[in-house]
Amino acid sequence: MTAQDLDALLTRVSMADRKAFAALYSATSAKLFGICLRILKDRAMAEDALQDIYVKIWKRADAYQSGRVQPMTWLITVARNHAIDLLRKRRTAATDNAEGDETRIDRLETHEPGPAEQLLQKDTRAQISACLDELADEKAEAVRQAYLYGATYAELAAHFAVPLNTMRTWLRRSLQALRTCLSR
Amino acid sequence: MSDPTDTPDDDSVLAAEYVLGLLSEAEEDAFARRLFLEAELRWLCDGWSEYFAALADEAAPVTPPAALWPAIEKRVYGPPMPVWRRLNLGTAVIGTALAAGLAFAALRFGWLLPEPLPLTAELTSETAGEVARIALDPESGSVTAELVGLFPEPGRARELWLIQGDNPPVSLGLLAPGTVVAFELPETLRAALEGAVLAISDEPAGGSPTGQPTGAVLAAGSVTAS
Repeated sequence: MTAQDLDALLTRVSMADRKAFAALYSATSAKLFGICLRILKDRAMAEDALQDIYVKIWKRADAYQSGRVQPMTWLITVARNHAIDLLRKRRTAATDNAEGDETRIDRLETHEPGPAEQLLQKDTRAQISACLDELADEKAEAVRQAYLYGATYAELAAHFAVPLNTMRTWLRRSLQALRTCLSR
Repeated sequence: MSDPTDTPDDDSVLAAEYVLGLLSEAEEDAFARRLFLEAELRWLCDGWSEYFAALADEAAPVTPPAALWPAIEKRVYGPPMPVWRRLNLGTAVIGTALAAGLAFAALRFGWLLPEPLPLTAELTSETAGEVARIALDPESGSVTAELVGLFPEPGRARELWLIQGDNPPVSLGLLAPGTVVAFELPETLRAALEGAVLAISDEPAGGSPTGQPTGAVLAAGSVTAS
């Protein structure tokens, strides 16, 4: 399935087309479920989250605007933001249990990304990964943690053992360097 | 953080922080208000979303359990319609039969007392303080709004806008000075209401001619649980 097909599906979903919604689910649910598992590190939570995410997609598909971001980016953003919200709520509820069990996820059955999952433009992926490589390891790691774990400045500061303001200056400089690199 | 030469304070970095969810609540509100008017900012956020989404490629796809899809369908399409609705019996018939009983029950049990709506927003302006009070119900989509300050000059109107995330503002309608007006949100806007931003703009009588705000944003506030 190409980005164009996906764009057409999302447009139909915004008009409450149930067939299109089913097709969208079969084309994208493995990718979004993978993201939920990666972020939440808990199978049951990820399953609940995935349900909520598709309910959101159904209700909010009209907020997707063709041509603004790639359809897969829109879907990933909905999934990531929802999972991060849950994660942050869970962290505030039980701060002592912030780190999940990594190995549980590694053992989950995965499959090779088929053409349907390779929806993000290769250029974008290569570019961000090359630009992250240009940053010092720990700075790239901080950006990754913010995106994939929803780490806050306070959590990042604790993780890297630096004062909060230093952390913020540090990350903002990294984002600026990233921006400069990406716009090259 | 106060030394401007020490912290790169440009919009692109701010947009990245917004997309990552690193801003404090106050900063996020302020940024969302700017997103409302500045297409350039929305464009910056889109760019960052695109790049950061590529980070999600680290996550290998995993096929979800087969039982999830039917569960989603049930939640999205709802339970099957009751028989009397499928048969399309006029509501009038049922209405007449029930009306007397319901009216009695309503009085008896106080059903007519309005339930407070679960979400509210107080729209304020830096100069005029409170400008409007809004209450919303994500379930039914009903919205009530009262303009309490910054009444429009003759020939002008006050238009209410809803901004969810970094989406462009959606008009909810015109406000009337000192009067509670009611709107119904389209179903597609009812999710993700909490945390959304409501704003009021100054528009020509009859409302914005373009479908997007054309005049100054007079007041804004975010939607919170009441």
